[in-house]
Amino acid sequence: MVKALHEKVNKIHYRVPSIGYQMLDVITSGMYDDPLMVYREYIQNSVDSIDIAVRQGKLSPSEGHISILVSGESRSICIEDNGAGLPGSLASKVLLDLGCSPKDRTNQRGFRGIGRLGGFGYCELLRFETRCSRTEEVSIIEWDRKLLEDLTRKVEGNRNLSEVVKSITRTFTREPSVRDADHFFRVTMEGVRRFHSDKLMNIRTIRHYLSQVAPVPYDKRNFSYAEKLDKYFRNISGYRSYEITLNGERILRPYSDNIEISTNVDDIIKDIEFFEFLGTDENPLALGWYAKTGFKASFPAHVAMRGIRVRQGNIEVGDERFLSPFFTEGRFATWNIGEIQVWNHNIKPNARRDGFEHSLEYERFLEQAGLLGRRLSTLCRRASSDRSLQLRVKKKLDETKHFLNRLSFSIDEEHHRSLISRLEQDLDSLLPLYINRAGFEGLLLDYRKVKSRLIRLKETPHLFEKHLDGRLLRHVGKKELVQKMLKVVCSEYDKTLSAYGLIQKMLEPFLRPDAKNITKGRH
Amino acid sequence: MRVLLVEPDYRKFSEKARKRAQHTKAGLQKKPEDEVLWYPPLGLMKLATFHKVHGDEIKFVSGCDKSLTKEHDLFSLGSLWDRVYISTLFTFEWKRTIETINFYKDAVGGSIHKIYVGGIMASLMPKEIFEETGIQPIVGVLSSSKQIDLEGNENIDMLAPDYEILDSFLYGINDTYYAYTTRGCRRSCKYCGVPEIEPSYVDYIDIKRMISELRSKYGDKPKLKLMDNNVLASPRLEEIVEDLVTLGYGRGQFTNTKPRRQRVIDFNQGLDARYIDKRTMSLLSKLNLKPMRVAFDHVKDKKTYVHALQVARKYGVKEFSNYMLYNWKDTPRDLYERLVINIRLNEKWGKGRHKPSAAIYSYPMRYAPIKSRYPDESNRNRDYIPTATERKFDFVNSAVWTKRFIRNVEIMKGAAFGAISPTPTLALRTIGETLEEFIINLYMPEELLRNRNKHERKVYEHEPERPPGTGKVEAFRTFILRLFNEQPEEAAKFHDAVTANTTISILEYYNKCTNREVKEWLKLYMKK
Repeated sequence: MVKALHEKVNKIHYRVPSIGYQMLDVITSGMYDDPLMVYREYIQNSVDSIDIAVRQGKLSPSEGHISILVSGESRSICIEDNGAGLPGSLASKVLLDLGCSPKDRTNQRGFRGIGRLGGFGYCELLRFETRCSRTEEVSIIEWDRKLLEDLTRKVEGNRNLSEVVKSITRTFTREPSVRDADHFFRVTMEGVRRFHSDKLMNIRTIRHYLSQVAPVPYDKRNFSYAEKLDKYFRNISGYRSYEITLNGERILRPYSDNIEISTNVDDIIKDIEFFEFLGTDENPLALGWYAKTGFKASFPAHVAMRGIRVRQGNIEVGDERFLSPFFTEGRFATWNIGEIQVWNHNIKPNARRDGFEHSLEYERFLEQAGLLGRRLSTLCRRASSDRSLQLRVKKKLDETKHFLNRLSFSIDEEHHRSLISRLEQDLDSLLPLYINRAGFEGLLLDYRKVKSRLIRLKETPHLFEKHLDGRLLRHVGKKELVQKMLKVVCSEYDKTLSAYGLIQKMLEPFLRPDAKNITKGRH
Repeated sequence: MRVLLVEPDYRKFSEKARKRAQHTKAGLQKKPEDEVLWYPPLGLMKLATFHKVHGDEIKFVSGCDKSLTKEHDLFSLGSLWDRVYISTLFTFEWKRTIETINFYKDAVGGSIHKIYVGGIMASLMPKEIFEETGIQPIVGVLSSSKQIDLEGNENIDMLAPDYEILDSFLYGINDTYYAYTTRGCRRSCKYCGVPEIEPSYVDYIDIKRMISELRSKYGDKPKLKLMDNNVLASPRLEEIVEDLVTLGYGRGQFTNTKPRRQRVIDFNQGLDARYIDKRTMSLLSKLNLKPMRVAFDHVKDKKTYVHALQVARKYGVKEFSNYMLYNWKDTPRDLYERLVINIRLNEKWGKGRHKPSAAIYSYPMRYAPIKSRYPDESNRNRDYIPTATERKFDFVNSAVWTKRFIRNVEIMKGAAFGAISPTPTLALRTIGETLEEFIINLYMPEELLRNRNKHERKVYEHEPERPPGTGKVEAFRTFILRLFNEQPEEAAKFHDAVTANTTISILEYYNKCTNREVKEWLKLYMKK
């Protein structure tokens, strides 16, 4: 039996597996859950290309430039860089092959050779234009979405991916025009399709997104830690910022000292704290910082700097909630502001760039992220509990002050003692919670003032009998007195708002002329 | 299909107008003339006709109408609109217009390609609107349904506007029809938006069918406002005039209503003086023009202008309403000169003495930029003043436009419903009997300029009877002349403080100033 099975197995014919054209959907529209990620992919390629140009001496580091032009009139998006470009001999190979990028995996941000098709799902025609030197012609590769759709409609069965790519693309060269620099790479998406909010072409949305994701400089005018941070990160290879413009306007990172939460609520970055994620070899895997703010609440979505952002090659991986599983409560992720720049080359972003490939180093990174999350959660929680304790203490102090302001007499010594001791107990009940707590200095001062008022009062009681007029009382019989009191209770009870009001009414006939209003203010 | 037509609510006095409309509806006051009411949004009215013909449900709203997003239950069929059209007008209404566009994104469930923005501002600032809202506006005239992503090639601009969608107590549509017999302009004046809004000149539009349709639908209205931007440039003027006469807008023609009313035509955008001659006037004189509007934008055109008016008067035109662009490349002196030219013509034609042969109303119109050409020039707000190249304090002869001056011109106009009176004595009183007086009026505190009857001692000829005023107007003239003649340094400071026309600038100067007399006058500037 076993032998028979063997024979059968050996007889199975091996054939080269075919890869169908549906794979194209996977690597175009299927790759990214947000169309804006297309911009990130092209910018990633552009900065790699600028880095090469800098290494080759074609550009100085400050000359690198990426320009994005979005035209509502022609429904087109054009992303162009002045990086090294591709030589004509390589262009069609590089831009038609799928998943075989010639890039090395250590120095460059993109390396899989699929990101450049990101835009293909959203437009009619995707065009790449490039050249790498003055002596070359411009190489052009076009991917035609309409042809692909026609093909999908007509063709039955599965066609080979390579055949399909061949029939929907066009490669040619042309003479350079004035618009073409000596070396450049230009991606144009033509006939961008309209969909719902038209996010891919919304200038504000693109700017908001790229300011967070792209390797753009800090805004030195509004963020006073910009230089400090640049200095801190400068040894990380791949930590570079690039000049990126959107319809002519520079894009900057969203960080600023002032945080506008709503029209009337603000917060500020009081300071920043640096931290390191250390590898097992004690070398840093990543460097980071977080902002010391009021930790008041989750920052709303319009605060583009919210969250601890993880960046590799100074491009963001994931979004502001990347570290949320590491906070004791997920919501704390957006209470914080900060960044982590990955240093170690063995921590590599996955193809969707929403996480990293599994490696020992990444495991270590996650362990440390857990520590960071816990620490930041504690800060958030402590700030939150501080705030509620502050409110409680303030309420207690206000209540006591209010009572003291209105207290004008005690019924007798015993009443006085019990009143004061109840107030004291009440006032002191929260003291152990904040006596040594930072941020409560002002409240403690207030506590001391109230307490000393209480002590003064303790020593000098205002007794009610002082206000009574003995002569008036002398002529009233005990029975009559009780009757009088009861009558007042019956007739005034519904009208008065407090016990003291009632007492005032009951005592009125027997008070000394100078003490007619001993309980004034208690009504 | 459910179609929503939106006009942004940019009218400054809309609250007042709404109240007036309520009163009129309740019979508390007479319905005002169309001239006083709002211009109807013709583009939206044409779109209403277009969609009604196709059986669509339409609704017109003004401004951001919150009830539209609230009135339906979630998920009920009527909670979203299939299309929203938003009209636009002045570029300085930028903020309000953008707010309106963003507001209606919810009305289409966020699918913003269902929102169509068009009109004047949209044609002048398409890129800016796209960058701000994500919506690419329709530029220019809506001559094909393809422009709004619909099949066919219907020229929507040629459709008869739907007069039913508007509230006739708010919009000037009671006695008036609106139309174009040409489009565009042959000239390309730098300050003008027409070359961009209507880039190609269409020299003839047949409106006969449209007007007949309107009459059968909405009745025979006596007035026709033609919105042509330069009708006289048309080589087919004769045909246009013939059409209008056929339609009954000739001299001495009346409506077929009881009581009958005289039909009148108003070329609302003005006629180009350079084309006014015997030939064009012999054609125009067949029409009952009231008023005739002739633009007088540059003082250097005075010969052409005066000649044009004289020819027109010879051909029997009795009333002129003439616009004068100012705050462009002119100076207060230029404007004064142009105003005086009209006053002299009025004098010559007997206005104020006997029954005049013709009268001119002057309408100075403040220039506001169409495009922002450099960073500090903004077409998005109203308070543009040209940048002064050099500072001179020969304050009569070298005066340049400032914020206060412009404001004061508007106040002078405001005293007579936007126009300078055709009666020479009154016109001279309003603007000033000499250039010097005009410039002093431009400096004058608003309190005095607004209440001249109260503060001016002199009573002018043809003025309604009134007691002499406090004399503060005269005192101000004496003061300012002395200040500029005797204390040029103080005068310079005074000039900077008051011409900026802000309370802060005046207050700052007031706190520093040591001259007691000047301080007294400054108090009057600060009076609210």
